[in-house]
Formats: sequence, structure tokens, C-alpha cells
Amino acid sequence: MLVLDEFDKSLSMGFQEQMAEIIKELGSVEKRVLASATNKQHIPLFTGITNPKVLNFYKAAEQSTDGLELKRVLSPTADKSVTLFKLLCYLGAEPTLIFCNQRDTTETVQAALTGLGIQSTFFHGGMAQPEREKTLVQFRNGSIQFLVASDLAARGLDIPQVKHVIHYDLPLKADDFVHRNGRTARMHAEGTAYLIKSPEESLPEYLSETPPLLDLPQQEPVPKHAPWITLYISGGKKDKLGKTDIVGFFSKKAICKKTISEKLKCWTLCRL
Amino acid sequence: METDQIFAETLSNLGISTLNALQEAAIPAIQARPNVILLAPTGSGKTLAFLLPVLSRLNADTPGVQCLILSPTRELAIQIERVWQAMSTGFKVNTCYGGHPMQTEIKNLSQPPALLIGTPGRILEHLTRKTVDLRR
Repeated sequence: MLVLDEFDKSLSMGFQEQMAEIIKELGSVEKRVLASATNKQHIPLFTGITNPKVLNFYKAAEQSTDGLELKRVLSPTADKSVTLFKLLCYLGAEPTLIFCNQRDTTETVQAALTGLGIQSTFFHGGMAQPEREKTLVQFRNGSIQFLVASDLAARGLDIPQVKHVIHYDLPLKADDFVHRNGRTARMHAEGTAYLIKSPEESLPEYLSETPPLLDLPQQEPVPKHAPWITLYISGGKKDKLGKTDIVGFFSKKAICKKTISEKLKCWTLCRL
Repeated sequence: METDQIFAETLSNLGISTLNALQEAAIPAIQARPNVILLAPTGSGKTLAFLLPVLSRLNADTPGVQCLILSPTRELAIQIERVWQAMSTGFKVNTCYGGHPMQTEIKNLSQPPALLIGTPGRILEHLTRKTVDLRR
């Protein structure tokens, strides 16, 4: 059996030839499943998929994004980081994904936010795998509230409970816009997407109507820092490091009280 | 064991009580038809919709890789693997992707998993090095 997941993404990432070669190497395949997040019907020959049963869940999906609200925020300058800062202050400390079109932009935006006193992290395809994983763990467990990401984070990643999606840059393609917004308002939950527009930018054609304008208040407190941090302990059984060592270390240093150490114990139990 | 029973057990392992509409429609279709195309946005429950039919087709007595899942990104591949592990199927799974130590993967593949997940580049590399055999 062969499953091609997120096939449209594989094609757009240029895996066509590699996939074709792999599929050629397979023996007899009795069953093939192709999953695609894009509502396009063109299926290349190399997949070996003939006379398929097509199940289109797009209609149902469009209804399920009913929970999504779209708002527009105006930036007076071409550099939108100050407007983004104000928007984040207005939205408060909630899991938020900020999308940029380029890797460099995610890093500069993240640096600008740090300068203004907001803790955030960037996430893009140019990062090494362990770094990407660590960032996602922290975003999922809430020790990072604001993730500045490229379109890598728009698809397929299971990041639950994203409250807000912010388009720092608007994507060039309608598909990407849909995928980014799909990070919030998932499975009947409600969510809001914001787009930041500078005077020079015009709204893309894929927006059928102009989203309502959101006026940001002048003075809002900076969002609180996340209530916890994630510690990465590079050690385990092979290093003779057990959960009791970690709990012991913290209580000895009086870094945590007994109640916390109980919680930590539970946590390390699950992790080690 | 009957397929229905396997599914019920797997769902209870996952802590899920009911399938969603996509899964209800997709699972029987994948089981009945040789070629199925699922068009759906992310977050709609596609992963489980194909993993359950995969599970129903695996045979504990068949040696070698019985199912290959190709995913464009490492994160997605890892995510599929996590769902499979949470299903507690008893079938071995391995995930191969760029940035993962090649030697570890080669060692894992020396006992071929029933389910192999990977990104195209890395799977092709294993095929070229002949560290995995996908011609059942």
C-alpha cells in the first residue's frame, strides 16, 4: 500500500522526480491513497493512480471555517513591525501565529518584537531540524506565545489552539492564504485572522471583499511573558540521569518548593 | 480479529469515541477501492482516515515493508509517526527524513518495519544505497 500525503505540497516543493523514482522502485502496489490539501484535480501519471475514487471534502471544510473572522489593520509606514507590536498588545498573551513571506523577514520581525519587549520565536525551513522541533514543542506547550513563521508552519502541522493568525505579509497565492487561516478556527473552534497593510500595498485579488478595518488603541500594556519556560535536558538513561536527579537538583537549589517539585515529578515521569 | 474490532480498539487507544464525517466517508472508500484521492484541507482528520485502513491491511506474518507513506516535510512525517504510535498497533514503524542520522536509520531498517514513513529525498537515498527493499 502506498500513501502520498500532502501531495500538492510535495509537487510544489519539487519532489516530483524523486517520488516518480521511488514509485518506480516499488513492487506491485495493491492500494494507493493520495491526499491533497489543494482542491486541484491534476494527478500526474507517475503516481500510478488510475480511475480513482475522488472524495472532495472542500465544501464541508468551507463551512467549517465559518468560525473564522477576518480583520484589516493599517500600518502608517512600510515597516509594519510597530503596528504588529500594537496589534499584539491589543490581542494580549494568547497563542498567535505571525506569517511572513520570507525567512529573513521572520527573523527581522522577531528581532524587532524582542526590541519592543515581546518574547517571540521565529520558525522557518532554513532552521536545523532539532531547532525546528524544539520551537514547536515550546509553542505547543505555551512557553512561547508568539511564533513568527514562514509558510512552512501553514500546512499540516498539528498546532492546536492557535487563537489568532496574523498576516504580516499577505501571501501571493490564494492557496497559502487558506492554509495559513486554517491554523485557527480548526474543527468548529473560533478564531480571527488579521492582515496588516501598509499604504503602498494593495489587497490581493483573492480577497473577494475588503475585510473590516480594526482601529488599534494607542496605549495597551505589553503582553505578559509566558507563565512558564521549557527546559531542555540533554541526557537520559545512558548518562545515568533519572527523573529523581532532576527533581533533586531543583529542590536542593531551592529553585522550586515542594508543590512545584511534585508537579515537576509528574512531568519528568512522562518525559523520561 | 475482525476489522471493526481492531478499529474500535485503536480508537480507544487514541481516546477517540467517534470518527468525523471525513473519516466515516474516507475509510470505507479506501478499503473498497484500489485508488483513492482525498481532497481536504489540513486539520480535517486525514491522517487517521488513511492510517486506519493501512492498519487493517497489515499482516503480522508478512516480512518486510508493507506500506510506504511519503510526506513532503519532516514535521508532517514525524506527526504521522506519532499518531501511529498513539494507535498502539503493535506493528513496527520507522520514519526517515533529511537531518536524521543516516546510521540510525540504516540500523532501524535492518529489521524492516511494517510501516515506513519518510520524505522523498531520504527514502530515495535508502533505495539507492539498498538499505531498504520496497519490492515486496
